[in-house]
Amino acid sequence: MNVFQKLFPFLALLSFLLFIGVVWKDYDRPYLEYQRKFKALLDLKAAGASRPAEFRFGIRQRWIKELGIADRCETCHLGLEDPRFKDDPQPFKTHPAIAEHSYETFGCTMCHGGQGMATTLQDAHGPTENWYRAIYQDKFMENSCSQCHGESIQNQAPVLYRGQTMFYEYGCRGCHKVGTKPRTEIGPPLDEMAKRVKTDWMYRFLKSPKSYLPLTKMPDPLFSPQEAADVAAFLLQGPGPEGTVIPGDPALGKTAFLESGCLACHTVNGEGGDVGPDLSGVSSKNYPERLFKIIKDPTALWPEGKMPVLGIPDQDIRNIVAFLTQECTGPALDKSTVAGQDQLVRNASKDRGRELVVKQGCIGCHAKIEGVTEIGELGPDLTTFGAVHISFLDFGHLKVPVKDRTVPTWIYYKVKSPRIFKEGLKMPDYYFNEEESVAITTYILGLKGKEIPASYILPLGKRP
Amino acid sequence: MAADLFTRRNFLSRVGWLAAFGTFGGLTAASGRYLFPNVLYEPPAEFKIAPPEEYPEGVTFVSAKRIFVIRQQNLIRVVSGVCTHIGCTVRWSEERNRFECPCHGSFFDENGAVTAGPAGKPLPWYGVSVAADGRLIVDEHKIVPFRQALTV
Amino acid sequence: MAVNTTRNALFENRFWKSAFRGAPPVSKWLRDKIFGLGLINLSLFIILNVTGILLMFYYVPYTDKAYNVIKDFQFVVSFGAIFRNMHRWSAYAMIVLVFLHMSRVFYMAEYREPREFNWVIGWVLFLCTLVGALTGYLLPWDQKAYWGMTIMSNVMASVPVIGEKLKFVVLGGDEIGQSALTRAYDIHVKVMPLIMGLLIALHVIRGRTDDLLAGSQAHGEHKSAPAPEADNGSDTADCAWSDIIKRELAKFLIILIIIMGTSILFGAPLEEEANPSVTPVPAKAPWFFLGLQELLSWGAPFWGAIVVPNAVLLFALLVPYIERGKTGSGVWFHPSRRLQNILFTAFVTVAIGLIIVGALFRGPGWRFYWPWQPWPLH
Repeated sequence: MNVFQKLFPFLALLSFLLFIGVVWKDYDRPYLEYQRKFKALLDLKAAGASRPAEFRFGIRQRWIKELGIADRCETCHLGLEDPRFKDDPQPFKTHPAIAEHSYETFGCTMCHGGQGMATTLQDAHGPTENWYRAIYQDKFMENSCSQCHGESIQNQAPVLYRGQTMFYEYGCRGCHKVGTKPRTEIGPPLDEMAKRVKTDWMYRFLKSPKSYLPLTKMPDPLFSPQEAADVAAFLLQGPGPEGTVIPGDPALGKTAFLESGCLACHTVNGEGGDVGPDLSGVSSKNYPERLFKIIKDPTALWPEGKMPVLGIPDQDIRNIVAFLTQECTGPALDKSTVAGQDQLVRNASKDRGRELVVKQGCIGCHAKIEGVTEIGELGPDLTTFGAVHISFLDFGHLKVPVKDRTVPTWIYYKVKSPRIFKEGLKMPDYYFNEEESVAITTYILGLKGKEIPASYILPLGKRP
Repeated sequence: MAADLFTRRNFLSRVGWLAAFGTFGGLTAASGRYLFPNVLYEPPAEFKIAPPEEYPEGVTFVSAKRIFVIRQQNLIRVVSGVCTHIGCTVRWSEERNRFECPCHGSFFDENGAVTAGPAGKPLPWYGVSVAADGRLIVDEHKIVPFRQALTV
Repeated sequence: MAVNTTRNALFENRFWKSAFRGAPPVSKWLRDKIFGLGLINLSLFIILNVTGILLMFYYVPYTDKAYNVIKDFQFVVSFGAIFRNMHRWSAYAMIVLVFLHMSRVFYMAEYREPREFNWVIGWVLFLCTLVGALTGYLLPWDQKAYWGMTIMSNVMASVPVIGEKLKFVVLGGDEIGQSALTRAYDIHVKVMPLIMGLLIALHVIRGRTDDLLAGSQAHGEHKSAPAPEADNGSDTADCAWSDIIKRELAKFLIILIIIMGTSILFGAPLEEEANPSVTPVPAKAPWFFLGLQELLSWGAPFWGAIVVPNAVLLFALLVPYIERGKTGSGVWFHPSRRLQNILFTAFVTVAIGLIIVGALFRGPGWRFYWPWQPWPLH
């Protein structure tokens, strides 16, 4: 008898065993374990009730045709709508109240991200190789609000709102295009700098803006000493301060300063408002001649600025200038250091400085830079950056575990520490802290350019 | 011995055929199970409508779901609005106190029982309960007998 | 005897006998024929058709739904993952085994007279297998499918004269979209199974005719005398149908076991949904065409993608009409065929080698990378 005929019974048995394996593989789903646990809890909570708790094992799906999503999250997250589970651990915990955003209309993944179609933990939450978006961490979740609410949301999504506000306050739009939003130059114009500021101050400020003005919105361009000197040399081209200021009386000046209400907007040595810059070190920065001009008619110098014409008489202004020159010198500086910085700038290369100014994109925040007018694309377009594919994002040398290789993580690192990934990156450092970085990341994540179905748009004045 | 050998070969052969049929029969059964979907891409049979307070006394038609919500003081019931003849949506006539089907003239009383027309079966009552968030849940898969209403 | 009661009940009743009335007794040919790789391929074809039909109950060839259906198979359809895996692994196995079958026939020179035409039918079946696999590859509508098809359609476009028109008719347009998916679906579920079914039947029947014409009962025995037995003049063998069925069913079961086992252990691959704006780096053709892509990378597409493969195919087609040897049929590696066998082995080695290089040694930009060398992320 043929060998195969002999083998037939054993092969048939083996195939039957494998068939049992097939059935087992299909039956033994991971979600069943969660459902059994939930049923046990449900029985406990329903103990003593007139009818036993009804529970059906199996997959639960919310299919929302207009959004094209089929969310199966409730297969494991079974206590979502049941207030009895508010103290139970995940995945059974009751969902916080979201009256206007019912599950029937919105599903889950529209706000939370993740792979709604999956029924296993790793695939559903991600990141996973064959799904483009992992579930959002709680801290970034408000980004989803902007899909429908755009930028009209405020207190209801505080993190998102803060990020949105910061994004424009810090002038990100100066370098990064977002839709049709106009560029606003948040920094002062840089014309005639030689008439306005001292050489050594220019160098120090370019080297580290926050060292002069801790609350400045200007980021640190991370120049090397030579680069800072080159840029200072470029900006300080042209004639120096003109005219002289007749010296005034510092003591009278102090009185005039206080009576003129300068402290309403300016801080000196820790006291005052923060509408205008801190004046604690202003005389290390500006020449007296310039200070005189600023106080006399600020709008002539900077029409878009906030400082009004105060109508202070000239003599008082001279006194105030004297006061500022004497008292507001900032931290003491070693004379030889200052001389050295002056020397560095004098010997620096203006041409290299200009190259740096163009490359760093100073023009994104500052107007009127001599000889620099074209505004090309300084940073990537962020209009739909929230929907960028992870394959376009390079983590460089940064060691990030696989589970964190997601778009939100990359954006967070970029915002917090722009040059952390590798050498040769251009974006300056704003020294944002954790909370600020999270907020801005949330805002950027929300920039998805996604169109929502018409049936989801509520006409103004109507309630859902 | 010849008899032993014969029996063993026969036994093995039978086991073989049995196992083979088991496998193929099993795979066929698995294919059968496969054909029954576990999730439906249809509007769900169990859905929520407004809380009971929002339904006035009498008959309210919920057109989106083709059901009638009927309130008598504090008793609520949900009756299907699909005519049991061929499936047109019936209308409630307040004056004549009955459901009327515009297609072939079937009439149903306020309980859904057939009073006239080609329809043979009464309009079913759907299971209704109150959800944890206070809204009514209607379950079209649960047909409840007449006279069983929800007390709110 | 009690032993026979079941047997009698099953096979001696009127219904069974009416169904199998006039069934011929087992012939000597059938008894002695060794069905090997050919049967394996048929088994895989059957598995593919059965699982394919099942998959068709859920699959829709729409670009915005197809991928979601595959996800449904993975997660919510009972046995969906298993059937899908079985379908994919059987397809890959069939490509390999059809190639092995062809090689076996070559090595044993069983394409010689009177079997030339059966070789041609087999050649057509091989091409159909590849077309079936290629069209099936597109259906999940994931990145692999989309970009694999991009490469293949551009290879088509590089055919001289008719290239652009060929790409246009295959894709049903200028780009890979709904039309391409619809056409691939039609070819995959209807055209290929139909043609292959008919051709396989023809292939087997013709094989039997050729055996009888050549006077041999089974390969491997051309030279040896037929087994000494009472030659009763007829070609009826004293062999039960159930024995034949057991014999062949056993082989089918081996394949089924292997496919089921693989499907339980390994999920069929699936990447992200097709995204025209994200190109995988590098974009690779389906593995069975990776050799072609590797060849392409060496020089002008005209040579690598058109001339060489077509020359090879044409040569393969005409083998029985070109090779005029007379000895060595039906025997493995007959010395008189040393040259042919060496040439063929070289060809097979190169073909497989090209695929291996394309699969394991090529990274971004199609540059050379050792398999263990990490690829740059950008």
